[in-house]
Amino acid sequence: MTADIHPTSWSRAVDELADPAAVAVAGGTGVQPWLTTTGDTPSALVHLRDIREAWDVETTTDGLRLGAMVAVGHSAFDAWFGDDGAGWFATPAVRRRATVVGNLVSRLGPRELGPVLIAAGAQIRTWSSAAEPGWRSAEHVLREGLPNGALAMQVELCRPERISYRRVSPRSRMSRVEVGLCAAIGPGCGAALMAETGGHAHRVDDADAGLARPNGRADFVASVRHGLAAAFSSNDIGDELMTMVTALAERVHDDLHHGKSL
Amino acid sequence: MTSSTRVDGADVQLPDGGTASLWNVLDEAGVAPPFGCGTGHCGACTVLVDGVPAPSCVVPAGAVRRAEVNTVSTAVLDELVDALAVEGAVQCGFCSPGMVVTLSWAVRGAAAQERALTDAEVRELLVGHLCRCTGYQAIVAATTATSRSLVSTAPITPA
Repeated sequence: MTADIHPTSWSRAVDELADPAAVAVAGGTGVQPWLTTTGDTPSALVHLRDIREAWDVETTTDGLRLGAMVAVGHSAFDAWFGDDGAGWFATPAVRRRATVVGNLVSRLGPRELGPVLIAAGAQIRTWSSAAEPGWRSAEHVLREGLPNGALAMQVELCRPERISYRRVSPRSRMSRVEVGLCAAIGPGCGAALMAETGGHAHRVDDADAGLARPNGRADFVASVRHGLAAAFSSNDIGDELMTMVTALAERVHDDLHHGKSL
Repeated sequence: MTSSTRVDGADVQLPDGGTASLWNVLDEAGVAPPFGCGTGHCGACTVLVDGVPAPSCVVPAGAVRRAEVNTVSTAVLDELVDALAVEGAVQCGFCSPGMVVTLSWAVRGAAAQERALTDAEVRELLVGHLCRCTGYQAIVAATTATSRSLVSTAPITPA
């Protein structure tokens, strides 16, 4: 039977997660539907809610650190997305429980914060029984996943001066992101693209120059198009997808240079 | 070690391990709201967990240890229920328990700030509550009317 474990320290949680069949639980909005729909029975559910540091929000001069229990709807993160907040992400009630770190490391559902976190230069602090605490890039974690037994404790984000995340979804709310492009201006920031439903997000290389300049739209669009071609084989990129991504890139650049700053 | 949670003011034992959700716990206790999608999107099973609306289907039972849970039985605002009835905002009733929990919470929150909810705020809250009968308009009207009635200096909402 699955055990419920409530560690009060990171070290105790790491010990519990040394069992590869144990699963960490932060908000639970990804884990519980997985348990309900699959009937899977992990050896243990390691709840992080009693770890005081997991709720920490640290604002530094050039960044933001969010503990593993900090929700997507937290004002420190939600404010990045303008008046509507992260309104595109699930429902208001789910946003109050689903965590930023949990979405990034989840093996169980679409990781739709991926483009945002990569664009904001996110680093994830991990710890496992096999390795000392250290930082991994969000891009690496999204691509490779966490090593077995590793616990994601914290995410560190650069503080963007401006950020825009444009998406193509069947609906504007509660809908899977099919194609998404996020770009941010600020130290350590950049752009990231997701071009398949529930797929990985990819950093757009060489986007910085066009991104930072108000008159750099054409260069930015070219780097995004190049990034799409680099991330996917040409067989997967139809004219429709390239047209869509081009339009997103134009809008994101316009947002950044003609929209509101944070 | 067994643990418990408070549901509508009464102690309810939580399962000693397993993969149950909060909804399963409420079902076992005989106070479960309707079970809808099971993924947190339809809002039918919404309850208050420590004073905040949450779909009980996506909350692991182990995550409500020592928490305070309120179902529609104790989270509801009577004035809102009356207004929903007056506006004809309930048809099949499947979505109503969860929706009333969320809207009661929001109306109370706005009243505490001495202001009334706007149409836009109510519609945003309803993003997490699927209703296939009413078309939402009557629900929005009932909620904003209730919200206005609870504040003495309610702003006038343009028609």
